[in-house]
Amino acid sequence: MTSRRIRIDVPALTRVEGEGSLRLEVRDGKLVELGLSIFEPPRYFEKFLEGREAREVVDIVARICGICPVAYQISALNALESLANESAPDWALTMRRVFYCGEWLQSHALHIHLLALPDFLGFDNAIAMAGQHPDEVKRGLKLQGLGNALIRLFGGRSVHPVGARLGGFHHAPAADDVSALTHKLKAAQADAADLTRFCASLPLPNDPQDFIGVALHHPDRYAMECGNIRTSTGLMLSAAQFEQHFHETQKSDSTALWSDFDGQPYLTGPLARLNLNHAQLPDFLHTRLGEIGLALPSSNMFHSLIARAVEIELALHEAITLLEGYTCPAAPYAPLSLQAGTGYGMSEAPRGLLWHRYEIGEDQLIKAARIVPPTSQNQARIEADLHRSLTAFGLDHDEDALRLRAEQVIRNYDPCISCATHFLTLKRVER
Amino acid sequence: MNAHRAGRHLIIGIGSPFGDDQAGWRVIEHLQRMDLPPEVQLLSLDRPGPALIEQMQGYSSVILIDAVRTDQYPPGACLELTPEQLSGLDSLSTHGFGLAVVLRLASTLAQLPTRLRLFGLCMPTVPTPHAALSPEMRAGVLQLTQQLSATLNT
Repeated sequence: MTSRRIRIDVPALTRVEGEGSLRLEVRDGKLVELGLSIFEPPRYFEKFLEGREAREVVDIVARICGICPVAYQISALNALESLANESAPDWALTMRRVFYCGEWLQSHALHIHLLALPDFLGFDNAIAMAGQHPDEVKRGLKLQGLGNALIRLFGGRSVHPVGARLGGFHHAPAADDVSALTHKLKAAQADAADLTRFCASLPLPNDPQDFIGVALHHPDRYAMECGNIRTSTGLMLSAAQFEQHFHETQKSDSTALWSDFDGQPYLTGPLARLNLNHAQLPDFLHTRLGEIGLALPSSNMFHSLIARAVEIELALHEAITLLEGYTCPAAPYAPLSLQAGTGYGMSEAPRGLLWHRYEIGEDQLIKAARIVPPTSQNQARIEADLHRSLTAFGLDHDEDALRLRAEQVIRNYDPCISCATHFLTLKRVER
Repeated sequence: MNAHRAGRHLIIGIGSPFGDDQAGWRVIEHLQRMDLPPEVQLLSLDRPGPALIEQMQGYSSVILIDAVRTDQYPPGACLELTPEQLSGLDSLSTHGFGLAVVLRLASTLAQLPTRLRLFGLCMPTVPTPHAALSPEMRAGVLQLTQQLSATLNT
């Protein structure tokens, strides 16, 4: 037998958010080395939060990510407000879900059209693809623009929004602005339906595999801005119980932490959500799932693309429904006071579960903070998936084909590496 | 959808709150205090990525102002660039969708405005970390503001 050795180094992964690399070595038909490295500099946000006033947290954490700032704001508010003497007003809680719909809409539309689709349509990048598929790309940009408009409606601006605050929002949008945007959202529902059909028609690889799915679940609605953890193994957990089952460890070649669920890799994100919560989709989306023939739960990670399209339809529907009959409240927030203690909170960022913990002192200052973003949680799953998927794909494929499949597998998770590089253990050496 | 924008001129300052990357925003702030023709709209955007394309739709004329990292020109120097020239410089970007890439995408989709002007204010490739604009960049901002104001009022 002829000895065959392939070594693939992708020094900078493209079409993912942030800086990461992949090393892959195949020797005589066996995968002898595989490493996903995250080398983006650590960002120390948890340390920056120490000593800051609790009310400042919502604006500081919005800076962690340019793609999912709403998720950081809402998870932080859920954690901090768990220490409040009363709840934020119902109006604010409802509008937080609408605000969050904007983020799912813009993030999923960006991922599908500019990051993932070139893989499945045979292009190196979105610009090359746009030349052949301009209508699809325009549709994606339109949906992304509507998501940004929803975020701006409540946040004042779409990147690092500033509208959210403890107890609600600084400002309630004017009814006329809400009405104008709702009209546009309704007009985009047909585009979103076409997008789901389009994604389902793509030649996605059929690669079923076993994995543990983890997502928030809410008794009344498809979980987004709040809920409790549900796992595909049947466990239900509150935010305060997260650390009993989920652990983070540091790897030498990565500036991001790796998470496990009771020692096992696990999946968080759109496919995990859809698998665990699809029964709560509105009727028209059950019809859509039947129309495209997607059986749930799905064990094919490539169905993540379709899950994002379905969640775009859901986000549009939810925002339209919740903004129907909108009236300005007497006050957009309640002035909450927080008790000293430890607050836990979480929400479903576009990429998956985002968990926060804050310790607040009697002086209302943050004593300690811990943030566990979805990409950290998915890292171990991505590596396990790469091992399995590349072997199933066939290690006898040439270098380019193996590299492309590896990148497709990674992009299924839509990793946001900038978010994940949030912590690094510093070892103090005394001489 | 954007009929009300037809015939209007839009000036967009692109930036972030960090040091000299605020330059585009500062130009817009100066212009807001000036007496400009009513058809001129002013907008500041924080690293808009592909959303910039939607923001430009319907305007017949758009001017974009952004900081560019380069050591070929002194800090604060103002360059009028073509989108192709921008690709050779390092326009500050986030998540891989910098201005040059977004403009190439818009061009491919035939969604560039009829008239697009692009101004880059130069900052060093290794910027000094500070919260405010450097004196050189402040001078560049004032110079570009005056240049644009003079053009818009003629």
